[in-house]
Amino acid sequence: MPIGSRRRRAALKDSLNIPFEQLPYQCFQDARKVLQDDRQEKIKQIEVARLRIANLKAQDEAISGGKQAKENRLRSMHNRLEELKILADINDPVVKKKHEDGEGDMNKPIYRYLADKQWRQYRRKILEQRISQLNLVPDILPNLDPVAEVDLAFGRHKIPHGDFVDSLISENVPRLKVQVFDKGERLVTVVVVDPDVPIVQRDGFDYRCHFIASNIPISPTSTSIALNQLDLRVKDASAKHIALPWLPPTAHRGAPYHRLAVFLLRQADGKVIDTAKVGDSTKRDGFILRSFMDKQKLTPVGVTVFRTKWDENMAGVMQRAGLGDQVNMEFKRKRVEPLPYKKKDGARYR
Amino acid sequence: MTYSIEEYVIPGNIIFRQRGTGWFAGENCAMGRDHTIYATEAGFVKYYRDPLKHPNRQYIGVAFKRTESLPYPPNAARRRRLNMLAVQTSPDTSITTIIGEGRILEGDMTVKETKVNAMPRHKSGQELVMGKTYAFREANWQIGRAAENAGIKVRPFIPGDRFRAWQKSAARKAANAEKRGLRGKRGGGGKSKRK
Repeated sequence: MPIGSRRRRAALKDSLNIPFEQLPYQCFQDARKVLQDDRQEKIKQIEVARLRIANLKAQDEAISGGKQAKENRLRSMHNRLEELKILADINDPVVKKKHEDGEGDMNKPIYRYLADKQWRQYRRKILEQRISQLNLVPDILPNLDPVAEVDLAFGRHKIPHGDFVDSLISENVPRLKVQVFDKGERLVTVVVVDPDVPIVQRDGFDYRCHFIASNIPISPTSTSIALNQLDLRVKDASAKHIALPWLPPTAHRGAPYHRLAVFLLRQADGKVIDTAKVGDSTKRDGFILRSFMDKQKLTPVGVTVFRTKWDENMAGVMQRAGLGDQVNMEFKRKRVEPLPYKKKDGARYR
Repeated sequence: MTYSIEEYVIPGNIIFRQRGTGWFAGENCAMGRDHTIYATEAGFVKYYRDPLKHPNRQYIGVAFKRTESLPYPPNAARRRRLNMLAVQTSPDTSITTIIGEGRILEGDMTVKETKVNAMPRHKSGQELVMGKTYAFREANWQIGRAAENAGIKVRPFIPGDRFRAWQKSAARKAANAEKRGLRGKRGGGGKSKRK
């Protein structure tokens, strides 16, 4: 995808690329001067805010009105500090240009802020729509507020949220591109769940877990999770990431489509999950993500979804996945027995 | 109202007819174009309110079990029915589909039970022309030669073959008598639904 609007790209193509300081427009330079003064002012405010935070931290709890009050005040002061950091740079034309050119440094709060804003403007709205349309809420989780952008791709096939994926493509392990918009490194767990496994005996549907990988480090600058290469270079068994390896998504002939929801779950601070134990104790069939999250202290941060249904390659995929006995199984609609006809009372016709 | 509280309904049953939307379609129900509420799943009719969905509306829903009450708890996984059966099929049957089963008149009153295997029709020589409704269709002369292309043989008419004539008229009379008998049995006037 090209960066910047068509109009902007066209304008850039035949511009002279003169740095902003050397542009010969008086008004433009005066305006820049105003913005620079404002930035200096904001930087001073940041210094003051930092000093205040340091002072409050050093202060005794009894003086600041109890532990809770102190924490609350510290939190609001931190929020104000982050806000000032953004306000210092938000009017800088160079920052705007760099963000639009995709050259923003995601370690800096202003670029994270701008990227988040851009994501929420359109792409997150589509994701929200898919979450509600495909009923991921409430079928898998009671509620979901994505704060990280998750893009799914099988090899070079990028999958938009909710797209139908050919079974031959989804047989391979996907890769994720995850963009988080808050600072710092954190560990995440990736779980893929299928809530549409048909169960004829119960006349209903069940869940199946297709993949679990834990302890994956993610930061605003390290965005790629290649799920197929997670454990390639890991020799130590305890340091393995993958708890349950990829199970290719399958759907029977005639059965309704399957949703495959990919969840990005943030692990509690400092908590490392024992993948070997999780792999042993977790059953794929009847996997309930709600209880898994409670058990492992996970919070959902990102989600994406794709769908799968019977196609011409599905028989081969099922054979290779060890489901060869189910290739010839077809789902057909059950006949609903009509209610016995009740003859109406004769009196009403007279 | 056709079905009242906790009556058993099947998909398509009309639960409530109304002018305007006094009632709205809730769980496992849908609303027709004249605001009729009908069931989309088999179950038990419930009349209820759902303040989380809308503060003022009243809903008609179908619960899967008589003991369940509507609305279902918010944020719980939806209750869904599969309504399907798993059938073992051999890979061949998927290609050969039975189009129609029954009495097909072929040529000259020769009646027999047939099964027709769907084969991809040879369409290479087909010329499509634009018809009156702007849809592309076969030309009339091509349609007229369809029987010839399909290789359907008709027994030639021989003038003076009285035996053949008697056979045909007898068959026609028998068919008519059967038809008349059916009509007589139905009796009682009015439309009767096929069961």
